[in-house]
Amino acid sequence: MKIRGLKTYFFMERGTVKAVDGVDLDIGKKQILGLVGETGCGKSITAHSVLRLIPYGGTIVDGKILYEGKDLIKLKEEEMRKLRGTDIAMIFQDPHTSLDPVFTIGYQIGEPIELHQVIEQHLIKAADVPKKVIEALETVGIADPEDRVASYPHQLSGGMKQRSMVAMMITGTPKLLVADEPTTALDVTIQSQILDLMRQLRQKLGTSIFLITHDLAVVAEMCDRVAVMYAGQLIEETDVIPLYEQPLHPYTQVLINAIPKPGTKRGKLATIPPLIPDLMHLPTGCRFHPRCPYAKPICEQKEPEFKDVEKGHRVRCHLYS
Amino acid sequence: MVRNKEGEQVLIKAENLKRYFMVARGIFSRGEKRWVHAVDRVNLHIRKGEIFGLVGESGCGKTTVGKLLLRLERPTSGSIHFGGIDISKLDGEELRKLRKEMGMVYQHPQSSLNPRMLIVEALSRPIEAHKLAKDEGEKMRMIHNVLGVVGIEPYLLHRYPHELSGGQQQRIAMARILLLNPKFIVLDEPTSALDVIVQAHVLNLLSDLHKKFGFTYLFISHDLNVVEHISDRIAVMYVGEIIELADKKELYKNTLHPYTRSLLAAVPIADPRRKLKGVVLKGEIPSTIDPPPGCRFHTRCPYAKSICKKKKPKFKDVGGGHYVACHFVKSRKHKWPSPYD
Repeated sequence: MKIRGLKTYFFMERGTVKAVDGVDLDIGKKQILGLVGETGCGKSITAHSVLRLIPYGGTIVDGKILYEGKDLIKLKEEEMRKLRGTDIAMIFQDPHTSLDPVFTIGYQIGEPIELHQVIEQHLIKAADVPKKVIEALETVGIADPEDRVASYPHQLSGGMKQRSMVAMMITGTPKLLVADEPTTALDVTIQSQILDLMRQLRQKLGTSIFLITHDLAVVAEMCDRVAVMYAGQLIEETDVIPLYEQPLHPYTQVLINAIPKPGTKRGKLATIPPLIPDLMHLPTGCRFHPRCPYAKPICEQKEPEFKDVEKGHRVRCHLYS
Repeated sequence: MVRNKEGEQVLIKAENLKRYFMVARGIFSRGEKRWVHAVDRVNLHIRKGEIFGLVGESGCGKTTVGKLLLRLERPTSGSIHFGGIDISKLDGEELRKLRKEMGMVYQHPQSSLNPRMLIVEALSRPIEAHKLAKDEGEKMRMIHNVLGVVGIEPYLLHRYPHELSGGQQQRIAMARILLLNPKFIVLDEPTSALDVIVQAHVLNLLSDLHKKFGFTYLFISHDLNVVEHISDRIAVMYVGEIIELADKKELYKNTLHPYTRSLLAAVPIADPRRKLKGVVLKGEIPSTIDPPPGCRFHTRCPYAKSICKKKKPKFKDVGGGHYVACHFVKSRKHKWPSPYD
């Protein structure tokens, strides 16, 4: 998948919120690409834009999302619906709200199979759907899948709900999985199970994963490449090891050094002024300059370009031009 | 102040602390009582001036321990000594006097600040309740002083809580406690709702205050990286019980309890070169309603034997103040085989 110049704006009475403002990203085959940033930087809206599931009030105003030669933005809604779940699937942060409380888990996992496989492609028979569902539940490690298919979401723990979400996705064998903070609501031991499940998915089915998270530790563990987002724009993109060992953008440097790690002295975590940029009234020039420890006059006047500093390492900062 | 065998000053000592909550006594359960074993047989002591970390997964009872130590909850049984006095059975006016000595910062500062009260009113309340200031002038001086300490601009005094960011709200919550100049502060997941940079600000502030005023903290968190960063000693909880307690370095370098070992293996670390240890821990956390008999971890433990299902392991010192509750760990030198063999 190639994303080019993606712009998703929200038009409000008080003004326009530029939630995603010109994002370019490539997601390779079998690759896990991470997108990180603080609350409200637009990372979640970028993910939703890929599936064209933008919350009310938002529109993709410009850009291309190229997937297997097609531009997803130009597709009709029906064609887009066929892609969702089969080719491109999504898991959300909160498993409690992404499952319907009045249907059983089995029904909800079976529904996409019926919609996509049986009705459209006649790949499997309707009678085989329950068997498929049980298989999927087994794959994601749910105990007693035969009994669990009859459970309602409230009868399951958070981890089991998130596993059911993963089960729902793998029935469609998607080529790309968009995971929006998939483990933020979970405990660490359950988180490690879900992350492991996602890695297996890549291994066994060759699924590419677009992982959106605020947790740099999860990124370090999961991703091949990482993009850092700030105020609607990408500010750095590179392979995972250089991002942690030689972060170039001042914002990335602070992000990495603000995480408590073994060896950092108590009270000595890196910080910058905690001003969250207002996406309605963005600063001129570099959007990071009001918080940047290295800001120079040029940063206030001219917006830096997002370009290669080294091969495969893109940065948006005047320090490197 | 009470001293222990080693001659350290102990501020808080809890022995055999239990807190059960009753559930389900409806028509269908035919009057049968069931209990949530929120906190069970907890033994710990907190030294004066230390940062004591308490970690565990959600629902393991760590917040209830914090509330018990502050006497915001009444223990079902067991004793709590605060500076040598048994506070587990205090009531009324005596308990009210105790309140001045301790404070608590909650995970969601929005819910601990009254949304209809200006910040200045929220900060006046503790001063008025405990009659700490002679007059209005002294009260305002105290408030301005404390704002300087936590790094909040005075113009925010005439705002409402919703006009402040999460980090600012957490600073106000801290300021309100500092006004009382307490001896002991419970910090219940103070940074879990915050972004990493704001979290760094709050952690730095808490460390500075600790250094400056010599407070004793109980730092409750599910984030093992944060707890390791800030604590001197750490206790690990699992389904209502403390299963391991040691100095920070000892706990991370010489991890003895199988649960702590798998917990540490599961925590992601911001180091892309770290080799993954794979999923050691299978299954779900058991419920605290009728928890498993014997060792509560036996349902998920890779080393469990039949004794673990029947007999509760003792929580004992295996040397150097390293406490573990496991049948197989007899000394600090204990070596576990790899669970994959």
